[in-house]
Amino acid sequence: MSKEKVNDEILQENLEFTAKYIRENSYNGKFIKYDDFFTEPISLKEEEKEIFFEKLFSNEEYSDISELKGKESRYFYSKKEMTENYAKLLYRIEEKDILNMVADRIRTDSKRYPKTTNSNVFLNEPYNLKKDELAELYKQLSNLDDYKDIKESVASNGVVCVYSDKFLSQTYADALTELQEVTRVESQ
Amino acid sequence: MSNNEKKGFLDKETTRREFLKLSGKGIGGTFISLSLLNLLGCTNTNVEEVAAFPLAQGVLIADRARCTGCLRCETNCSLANDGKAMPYISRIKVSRNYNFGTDGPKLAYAYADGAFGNKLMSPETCRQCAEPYCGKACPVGAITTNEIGARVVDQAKCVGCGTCTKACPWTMPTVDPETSKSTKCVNCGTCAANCPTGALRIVPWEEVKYAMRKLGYKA
Amino acid sequence: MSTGGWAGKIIRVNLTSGKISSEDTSKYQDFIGGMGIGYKVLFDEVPAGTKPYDEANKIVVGTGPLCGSGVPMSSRTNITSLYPGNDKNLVTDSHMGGNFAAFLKYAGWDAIIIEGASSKPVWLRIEDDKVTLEDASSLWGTGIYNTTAVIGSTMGKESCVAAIGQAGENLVNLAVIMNGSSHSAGGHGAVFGSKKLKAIGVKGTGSVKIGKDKKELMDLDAYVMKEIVGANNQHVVPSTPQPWSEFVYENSRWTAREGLTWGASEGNIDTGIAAPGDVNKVGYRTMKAIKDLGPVAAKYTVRMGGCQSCPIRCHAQMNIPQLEQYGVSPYAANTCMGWFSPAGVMFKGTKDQKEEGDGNMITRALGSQLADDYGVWCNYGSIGRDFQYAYESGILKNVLPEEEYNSIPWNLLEAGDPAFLKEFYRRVTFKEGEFSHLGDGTYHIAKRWNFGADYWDTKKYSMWSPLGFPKHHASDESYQVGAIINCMFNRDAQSHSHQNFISSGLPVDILKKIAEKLWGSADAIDPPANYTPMNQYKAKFAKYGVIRNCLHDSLTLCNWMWPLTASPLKEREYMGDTSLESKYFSVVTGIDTTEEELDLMGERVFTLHRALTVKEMGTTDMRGQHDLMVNWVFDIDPDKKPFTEGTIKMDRDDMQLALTMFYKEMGWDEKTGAPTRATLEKLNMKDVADELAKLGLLPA
Repeated sequence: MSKEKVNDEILQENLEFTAKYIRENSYNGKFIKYDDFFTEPISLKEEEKEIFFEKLFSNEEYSDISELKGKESRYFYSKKEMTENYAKLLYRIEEKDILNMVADRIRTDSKRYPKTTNSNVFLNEPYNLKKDELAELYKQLSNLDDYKDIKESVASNGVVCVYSDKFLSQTYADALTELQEVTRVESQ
Repeated sequence: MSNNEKKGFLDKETTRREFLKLSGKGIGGTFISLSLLNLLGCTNTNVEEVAAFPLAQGVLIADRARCTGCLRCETNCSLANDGKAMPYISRIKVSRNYNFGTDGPKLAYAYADGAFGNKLMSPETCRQCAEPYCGKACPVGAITTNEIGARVVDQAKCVGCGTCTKACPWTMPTVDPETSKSTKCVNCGTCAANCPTGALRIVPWEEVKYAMRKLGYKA
Repeated sequence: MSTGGWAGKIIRVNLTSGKISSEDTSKYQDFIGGMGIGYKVLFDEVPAGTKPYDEANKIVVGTGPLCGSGVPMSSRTNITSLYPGNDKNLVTDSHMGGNFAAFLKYAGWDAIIIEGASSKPVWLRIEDDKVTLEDASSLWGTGIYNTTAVIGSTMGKESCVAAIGQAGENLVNLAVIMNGSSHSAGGHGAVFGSKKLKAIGVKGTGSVKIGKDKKELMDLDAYVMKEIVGANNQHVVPSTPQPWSEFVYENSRWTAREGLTWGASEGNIDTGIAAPGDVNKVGYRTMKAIKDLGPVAAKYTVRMGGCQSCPIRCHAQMNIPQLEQYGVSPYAANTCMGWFSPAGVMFKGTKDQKEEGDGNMITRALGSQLADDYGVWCNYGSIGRDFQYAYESGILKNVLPEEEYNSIPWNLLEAGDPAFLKEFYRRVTFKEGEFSHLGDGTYHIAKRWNFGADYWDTKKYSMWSPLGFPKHHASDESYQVGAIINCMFNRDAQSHSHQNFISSGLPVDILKKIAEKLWGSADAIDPPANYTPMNQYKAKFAKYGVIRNCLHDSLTLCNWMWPLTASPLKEREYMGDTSLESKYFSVVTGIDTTEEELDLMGERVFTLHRALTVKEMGTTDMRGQHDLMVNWVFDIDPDKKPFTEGTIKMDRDDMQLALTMFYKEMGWDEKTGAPTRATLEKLNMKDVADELAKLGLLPA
């Protein structure tokens, strides 16, 4: 067997392994970052990278593998195992773009459902903000022009929700908050 | 370790015995946890008797902590094996211990096993014993070993006498009152494949060996 | 007759004579089972004017052809009898999950018809074909837990027991029949009590036969488990962002996520990423403990649990050591209202003991144990609201004798101390004093204690009907559709067909697409809190809701999960599969039945319910005397107009139009809402039409 053919086979194996590895990580909600390609278990060699990435993105079999470019890193995921919405969220987390991470969720909820967003959802996975961080964040949001559409709506039982007034009026938002936080809790 | 050694392990009855004696001792770090071994419960001493049955390739084990008592295993078992939903002859037994565990209601039931107690289910599975009591007791030799080593009831030979039920220390084989034939686990895996909480698994002896090795046992 | 599904036999027990007989189920095949058998027996055999505790009242404990077959979410017991919670003595159903229904099938029985009344306490023992009445003198006066243990030790640990507690014995109107440690059916416990029937124990060694090839059934199961089933209430979107999901909806009961564990389990089992398609993770999707008891409950959760055959585990199984200080077991299990109702009694709030939220959790767990063991029901949470109104309005102080009033430890209530619940439930159960009339039910207590109009007309108290039952997924969540459905029954509507779809977690544009396919127009549903005037598509959606509900309680399937209208899969465009009931029915019974044909059977059952209500009320005027709503429905948000953004305020004329359109969909008389002869005959119920005609109760 020629050396070239052996190399081709090895490359093919590496590509398959890498695609599988990315898919598995995507299923579990994790990106593979550019640097990860050069460490265990992918262990890509510097001299192989050009042909490797070219094949990864040209081969039909790996068409689910997508890339997002960040400020300092590149993120890889499988569109088959991770939705684009989740990838966008993960991207915000990785890039520490917390303001937009929060604003994205609130605006999407307001626009599409429509619903207001319980202000505490950001304490849970995968946002995992601390209570004081979140309080600080809401304070910041209200002071920045880019986020001045984010408003508060309080249910009759005191639960605080947030919404974007680009999509919901205060009256409507309050009714949605009441529906979500009071009515739907009364009926079990 | 060579392939030959692996194969040798699977064929060796002594290892099986060692495993059985292990029951109750802690094995951590693998799927085979202490509670699983407890459920296997093969601690009886008669295991040392001469082997007449080839070893089963695997054993069905249940993780009681994951068992939520949905009893889908019982209907799936009887649907797959008998074409009807009949928990009474399910080869895995959960419902009979549902409320009060394996011992039944006691004065202190509120603290004992079961839905009326500590909420823990007590799934019981066939151990595919190395020396199957059911098979050895059967007066017509209807319990034999199939191609994967599971102890199975030959429906043509079975006379439905129930000797196997009485012989089994865990009362696992069950005579179907509608057919008067005994039924027992054949390691088909339907229950495990469909368990909504992954509480059931057919564990190959390979993995049992691995768990033992990790803890420094000779295997 | 079929080759599978039904057991084929029904037990008839006459408690007056002690006679036990077996009847052929095929007589009721048009009515499927469960609820359908219940209505037919009551229509044919219980004379109008009979009161719930009369010897002439009957109670039917029923299952259906799919129960016990292994079909997912199918171990439901439907109990039908007259309901004592108001003065109209109308038919209602109470339901329970658990193992009882399936076990009854394995013993070889589809249903139990109980009639007459015993002179001394008895319990019914069912072991396959052997059915006997046993002396229950020594059980009379004991709670449900001990009753189950005693019968279990008599019949064998493998038995399943449905029992009443002291509340049922003492004829507390709000009493349950319960099986297992947490599966209770509300409203008919005292009917058992009035007949001196303490319990039914059952064990069986038989089977449920499958009419067609078992493979067809197992293939359907695999399809449902992989592609269709969601989490509890058929929610199909996760409550926190998950890699597999496009959407997130925090109210969803699909809570599985990394780091959320069954914290009191061996190994601290993680609910993890339970993505669609992973059949061995379906049971982790719903961690109801945190929904019902708050985030603090995670670490006290031993596991989740629920009913036979159900992959969705909605009953939280807890180990809360703090409960022992109140003299009860640390182990508690329940779901939904079973936990919520005691918190409603503690309306002054609860005081935390060691950590944030534990007061609330302990309150709910203690209350659920007390209520379940005594067998007290709550009228879907109303008992707490009735108590709150009576207390806060000062009525209670006026109606209770001074000595009694002063004997109640109000300091515990005010301080948020759960020990108050022991006083509360004991007084209600043992009918101690005037206070205990809270257990009579809202209708009676409001009359007895002269509740003001503000009670009925304020949304806070959740009343729906002047007949004294509360809203249950009504106009405040689904506008005309919820309102229609809430008007149809004789207690709180237990229909979730409509609500599960609306709150599946999908955004409104996707829901509308599905609605368009199913009911002919996207206008069948409205965006939340922004509804439009009545239209015929809403009438069709409402009909789907009610009819499927009746089908499920007849088949028997769990209407808290079924119908599977939506799916978690994007590649299906989130479409569920509404033909599944008919597919399962065909495979299990062996009788090929289309979705339309099965729906027609549901229509028959529901129309019989209507005919029975007409007969019992002695009037055809359902619109004027039965399908009633209290005023808050129309008068809430005084400064807003109906059909404007941000209100749930309904319009009186539009609501009457809604009823008219619904009556029309059902083929009922559009003026009165009573079933017509033509419709009854179309549904093969000529005998019902003849009986109503004889009583002068067919609309003109």
